[in-house]
Amino acid sequence: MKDFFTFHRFILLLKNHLIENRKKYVLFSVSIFAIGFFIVLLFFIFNGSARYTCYCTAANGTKDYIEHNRDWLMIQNIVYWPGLFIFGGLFALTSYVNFGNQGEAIFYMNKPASIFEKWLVEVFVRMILFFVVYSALFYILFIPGTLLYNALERMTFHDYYASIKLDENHIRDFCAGGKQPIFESSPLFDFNIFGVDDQVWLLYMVLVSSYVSGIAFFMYGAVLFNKFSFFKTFLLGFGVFLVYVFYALIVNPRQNIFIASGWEHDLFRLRAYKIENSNLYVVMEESYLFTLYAILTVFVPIALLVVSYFKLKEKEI
Amino acid sequence: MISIDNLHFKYGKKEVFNGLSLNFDKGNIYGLLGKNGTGKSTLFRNICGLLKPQKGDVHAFGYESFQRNPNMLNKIFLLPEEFHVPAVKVKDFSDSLAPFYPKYDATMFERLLTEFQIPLENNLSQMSMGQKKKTLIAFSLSTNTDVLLMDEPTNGLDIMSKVQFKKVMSAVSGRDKCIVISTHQVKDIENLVDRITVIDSGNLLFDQTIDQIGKKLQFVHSLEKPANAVYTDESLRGYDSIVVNTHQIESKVDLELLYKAVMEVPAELNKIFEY
Repeated sequence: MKDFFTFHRFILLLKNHLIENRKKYVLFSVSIFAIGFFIVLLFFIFNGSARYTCYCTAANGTKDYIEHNRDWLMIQNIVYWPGLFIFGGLFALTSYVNFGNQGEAIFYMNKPASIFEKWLVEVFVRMILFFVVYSALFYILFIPGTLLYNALERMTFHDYYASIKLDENHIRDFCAGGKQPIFESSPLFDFNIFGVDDQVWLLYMVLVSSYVSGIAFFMYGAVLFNKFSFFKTFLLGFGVFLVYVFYALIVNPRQNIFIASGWEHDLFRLRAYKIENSNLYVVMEESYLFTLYAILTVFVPIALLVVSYFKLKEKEI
Repeated sequence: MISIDNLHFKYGKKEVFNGLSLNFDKGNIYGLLGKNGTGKSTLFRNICGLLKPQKGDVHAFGYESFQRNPNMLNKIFLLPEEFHVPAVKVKDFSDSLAPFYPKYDATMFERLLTEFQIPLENNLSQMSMGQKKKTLIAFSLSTNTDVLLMDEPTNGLDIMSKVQFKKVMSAVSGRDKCIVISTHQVKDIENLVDRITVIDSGNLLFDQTIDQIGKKLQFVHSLEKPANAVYTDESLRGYDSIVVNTHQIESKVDLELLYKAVMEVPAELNKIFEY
């Protein structure tokens, strides 16, 4: 077992990895932050404080929204998720050093640690550490952003109602009983933007496991190819996508590619149908198929990670 | 320490080793000689487990090399010809890598860096190729690994650095160590190695200690070609020859001449060592 894994050696290797790559990683983090900052800046310039969220309270205590502005939630999701996939993918492509450079490859493979420990450090850095650092950068950018955005929204809200507060009849048009509308702050990062309030955990699972799946795929490419692994992995991924499209659109256009025949769905819609006597029935709830997709996206990265470990084990320099 | 048994290795269709068997034992500094492309670097990479033999066995400290066992890797240090050092300060480089090597000697590293005139606070990315190499040589020696494999260590070093290299190497050799220096610049390892191993066309051509060579062979310079010469090389001022040593006095070994002789008349030379 000690030949395979020791926690002490793993920590040594991780420390060594971070020391040797810290300059690159700091630069990469600063670039991600700068890009995020630029997008948020553009958002403020073109969209900031244009609208706000306010509601009236009904007799039973429920919120009756007059304005429901979700722009801030939208920009957070637009920045976070594509950024996570794009930067995570780019970061994963630099896994396992540059096997195209013999000197680098020898230096890496000759470090006195097991292949499993080397693999584990890569998985930890590319998946977990990146995810944590990326999310931390997101919050560093969006916490002050949210405070600023809400301050601007509140200002617009008060300015508007201050301008019409003398008009009693007009105010009654908004809330029953002559009450003032209540301002609601835009939250910091909320999945409700997708309208899946009851399935937030599932959406989390699908998005995160898709991210892990993508990273695992790029890591596999990095260990599989010696030279130009970046382009080759990208082409491989594109090839896999084309096979999917070819199968789904040409070979079997209405056939569910996930489960047995008899089930049907469209290419990008996660809903299963069944046709009997020319009538179309929904035979599987969207959530079930969603769960199936979630399971698949969990299974795929595990399989790819296992394969990348064995590829690394057999890697010759 | 290292045993190579019936090693077969090919790059595609190009055969490098065809049944090579060889041992490297402690207490020796080997000079591994051979023509360019004869497989010296490939042999090192097989020993370290960087390449998988297509047939035969390569074992280091009882471990099959390609298993890349960490307990084997922390006893071997390979200084490759095409080397890499990370873009960090020398101190960070040694601090983060040294804990992997149980016998690492930090004082020795600092002493060797002083010898090579390299400040500990320098950044490796800002160094010349020769300085980087000297840093790596200093680190490799300080790891105190049982086996040290050096592939063309003097390539890229200037004359003064080569002198420093020789001085440093002479000081670190020990009875419990095995150092293998692969080179085609034989002058650089003269007076340094105590065993000569020559490989050619995937096979072991010659493998003798310097002591044995000095006892069995005599390296002479003469104006006329000796009649009993095993090998003669014509030079500007006469002939450099190898003859059978019939005296009781050990002859000083001319490595360059020996290497030429091994390449030209291996059978005749090996025959002398059979008795």
